[in-house]
Amino acid sequence: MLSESCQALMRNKLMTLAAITTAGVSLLLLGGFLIGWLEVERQVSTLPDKFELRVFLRDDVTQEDTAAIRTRLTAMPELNTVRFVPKAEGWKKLQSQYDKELTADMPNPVPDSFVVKLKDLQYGDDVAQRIREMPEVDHQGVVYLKEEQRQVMAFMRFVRTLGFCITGALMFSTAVLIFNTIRLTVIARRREIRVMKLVGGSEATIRTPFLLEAMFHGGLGGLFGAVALWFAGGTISEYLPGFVRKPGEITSFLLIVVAMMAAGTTFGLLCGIFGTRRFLRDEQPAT
Amino acid sequence: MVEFDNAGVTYPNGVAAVARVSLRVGPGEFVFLTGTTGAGKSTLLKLIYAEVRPTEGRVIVGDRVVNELRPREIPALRRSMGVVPQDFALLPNKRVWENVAYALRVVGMSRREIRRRVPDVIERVGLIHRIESFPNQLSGGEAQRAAIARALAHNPSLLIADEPTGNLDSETSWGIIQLLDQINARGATVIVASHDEAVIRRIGKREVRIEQGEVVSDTRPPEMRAVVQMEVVEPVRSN
Repeated sequence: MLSESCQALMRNKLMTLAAITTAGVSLLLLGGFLIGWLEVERQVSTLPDKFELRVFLRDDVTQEDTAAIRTRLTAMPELNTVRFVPKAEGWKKLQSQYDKELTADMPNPVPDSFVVKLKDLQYGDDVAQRIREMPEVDHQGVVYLKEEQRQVMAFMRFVRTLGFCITGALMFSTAVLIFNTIRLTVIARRREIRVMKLVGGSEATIRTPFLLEAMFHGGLGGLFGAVALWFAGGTISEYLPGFVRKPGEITSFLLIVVAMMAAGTTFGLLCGIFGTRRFLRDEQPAT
Repeated sequence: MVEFDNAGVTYPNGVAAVARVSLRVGPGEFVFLTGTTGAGKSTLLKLIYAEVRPTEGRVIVGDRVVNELRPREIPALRRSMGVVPQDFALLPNKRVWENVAYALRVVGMSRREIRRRVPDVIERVGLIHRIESFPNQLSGGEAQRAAIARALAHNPSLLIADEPTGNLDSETSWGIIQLLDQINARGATVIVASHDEAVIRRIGKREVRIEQGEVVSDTRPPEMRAVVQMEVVEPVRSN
């Protein structure tokens, strides 16, 4: 059956080429989008790190209280990092933002504080409220960019939903494109299926060469798609340095090849199964 | 060998292709199904190899009731016979020997056996000089011989041919019918759908005439009539 499939591939060069290129281009688009989306997702996932909550302590808080609140903050699972900023450091930083002469004779108005970063922006309001309720914390002492965090969260949700929808749509259109092409190769050879049926070929005997061919079309298409993606990714990263990494920095070439060939082969197999089903049925009159 | 027992076929669009056909073809017989185009000859043949299933009655081939077969049992039925379809159904991208070998490969024959059988059967149909040709390099008669070779390759006891002389000139048609006669003489049952009256009269075999899906006459050649009469008379004597 393998030799039968090889012979059919060689003798139907045009259809073979059409099926492989369609699978290759479809998988290139899908793979390219997936890698692009992962890159955007990577950039977006660093956004929470750019937001922080400043927790200002009351003036009468002792060193022991500060150590205790630090322990409590560190124990909060929603927080990524907790950093203590003594009042002197805080004042120094504030002074650096203004004219030195203007603040030279002023007493230090900045209390001791903590700078905390969240693991996930969605916990912002809840964490701020819980910290605010701590007795050592000034009643107005939790400062963060509440509205901006909400907007970033909404943006991240949008990017993720959009990515999910586009991936779904691309997977569907890739499946339809590969299915149609493989089905065309089957239609072009329906005479062969009829002959196989007439001479008494079983369903497995008839189907297997077509499935092998469809898997070959998909697999080779995946290989071409992977090679094209590798070079296209490299070129794009040269034009968008810093935002798009080279494919080699994201994953290995071997992994891309294996993943795309596996995707192509699976697509091919499924398309082959559904594409041959109709032609295997015999003409059946009404009962 | 083949029996239609009140067999009928009605297609989904309501057209009755075959209606209440009762017919028996014994082992070793050569039978022509004749009639105009659309009379139901091809449907009767398709009933034998289960490409079409009867919507009423029964079709029996050997010891198999065709309409009771499950889909996975149909390949075995088809392997017990050889089918020559109206359009030859040769694979255009395979040479003559490959077309014949292909049929044997599909039924799981070993490469060694295939290599032995293919030249033999191609020689039997007189096409050995065209063994390496592709179907588009063959004449109509040669393509028909190639299709017959493929049908004969696995030595079936039943050969079915649908319009084997259609579109062939009279001399070529006669050659094809003689070939089928030789196959019949070797013991195979041959059922042929044809509307080539001249050839049918010349060869002098049993002729079953179909009109609008029904059997309207069943004519046997004189020598066969004698045999049939004896068969009919014998049971009367025994009573």
